[in-house]
Amino acid sequence: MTFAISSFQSSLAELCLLVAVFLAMPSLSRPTMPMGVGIPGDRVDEQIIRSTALRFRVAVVCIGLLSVGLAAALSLVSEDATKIVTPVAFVVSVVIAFGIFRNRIVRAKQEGDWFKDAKTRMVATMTAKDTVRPRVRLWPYMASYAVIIVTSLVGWISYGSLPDELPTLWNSDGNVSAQAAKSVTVVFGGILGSAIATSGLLGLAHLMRHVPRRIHPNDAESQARLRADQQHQIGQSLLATVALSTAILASALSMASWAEPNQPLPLVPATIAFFACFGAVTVFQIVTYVMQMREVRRDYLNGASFKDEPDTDQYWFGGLLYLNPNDPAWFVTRRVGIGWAINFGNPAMVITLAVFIFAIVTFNTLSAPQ
Amino acid sequence: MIEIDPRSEVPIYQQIRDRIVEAIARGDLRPGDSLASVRQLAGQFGINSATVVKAYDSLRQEGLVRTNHKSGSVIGDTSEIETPESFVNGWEDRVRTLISEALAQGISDVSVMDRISDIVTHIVHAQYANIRAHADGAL
Repeated sequence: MTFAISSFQSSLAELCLLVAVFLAMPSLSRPTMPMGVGIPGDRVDEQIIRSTALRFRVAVVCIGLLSVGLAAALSLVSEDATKIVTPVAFVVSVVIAFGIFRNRIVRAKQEGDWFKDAKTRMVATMTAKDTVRPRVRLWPYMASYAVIIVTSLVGWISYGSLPDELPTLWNSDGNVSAQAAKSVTVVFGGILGSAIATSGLLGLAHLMRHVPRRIHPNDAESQARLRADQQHQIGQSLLATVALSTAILASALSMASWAEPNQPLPLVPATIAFFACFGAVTVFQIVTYVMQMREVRRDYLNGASFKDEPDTDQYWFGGLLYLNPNDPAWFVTRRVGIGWAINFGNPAMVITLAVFIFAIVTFNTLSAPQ
Repeated sequence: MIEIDPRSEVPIYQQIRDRIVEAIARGDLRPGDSLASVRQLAGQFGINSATVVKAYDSLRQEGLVRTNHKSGSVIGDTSEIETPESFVNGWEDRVRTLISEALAQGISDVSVMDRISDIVTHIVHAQYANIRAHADGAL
């Protein structure tokens, strides 16, 4: 059975997913961080905030429709251009639109001097026992390693029966585009890559334990803990899902290429399965988070006097990039969407990031077919 | 929890020091309790670690916090040490200045006495509540 999906169809599916993600984006920000702009708690119901979120969503839909037209036009010219240009053009346009609409809130905030009478506070826990770091759930990583070990054993057993020439590259349709002489690197390259990816994700999961728990001054301690636990759980689940899905995907594709080296690989259904799995976990986590945080939001609105977080907009560029040299944190909670943002103001973080990128580039360069 | 005002004229390190002193007085922090590490506290506030170091150093110099190589910064036990005369004199001077400021601003002496009495009562009540809670927990 073959799966033939045109570049236009795959672009359409990609665009639908991207539109859904960007439509949900304004809802995923905290009430006091609309579109990534820090505002005092007594301004969460300002008309301009609601209208800006609505306008942004309308813009996302319009850009989505234009992108569908672009994909249709490009598919007549080039398959590869359709797959690459369409999502990139969509994301760039939406980010630009985000910046434009976000500026409406920034202007209103500055002109109205919203923080003038705000009671800003910074809150932290005092004792060491209150700052216990959350645990990393190890079973998805152990399962990933198990899949990798089993696949490696299968490869080792069948190594002798594999042909002398093996495929090393496939195009987007799954057809073989490059071959190389049989060697340990060629046979186990894919599964080795997934082992490195799993280890990297496990390392990242441990690093995430060190993300400081920032307490909103209006939160009771239990609410602060709930918020921090939820955010930690979401991040950990997504990392674990990527690790396990990557291991399964690499295992399935490696075994398929060993079984029938010259046959096209089922890349399209594999990619769809990968994103479906990742999407299902993401949607589940987002729904759980929104439901839990609804309770916290209700408390915001019912509170007699608001205490606000300090205005730290000067450290956030476009509400997306964080650069604060005074903050020792490597990661902080994102203002837009869910998850964490890198603190580009932390020298240790920047060096680690540079080493990580260098390692990936070096690995890709060395493993590229000559 | 420590709550500080980033827009206050009082420096942040001083506010951290003051909140910890208040927590010790109320009995929220007891001798032997480990304070959050410098890095943890700076990370939670999103401030430079040097600010927290300055606050902890100040508490250490006052004898309220001591460094334990195993547990980090822990609350010291001042109950068995006689309060130095120099501290009492300095403290008395500060109280005199504070009361004088209130009177100079036009707050009546009765009102000043009432407020001081309220503050002391509030701290002592919290202290007793913490002692009771600790005793119940120990039983």
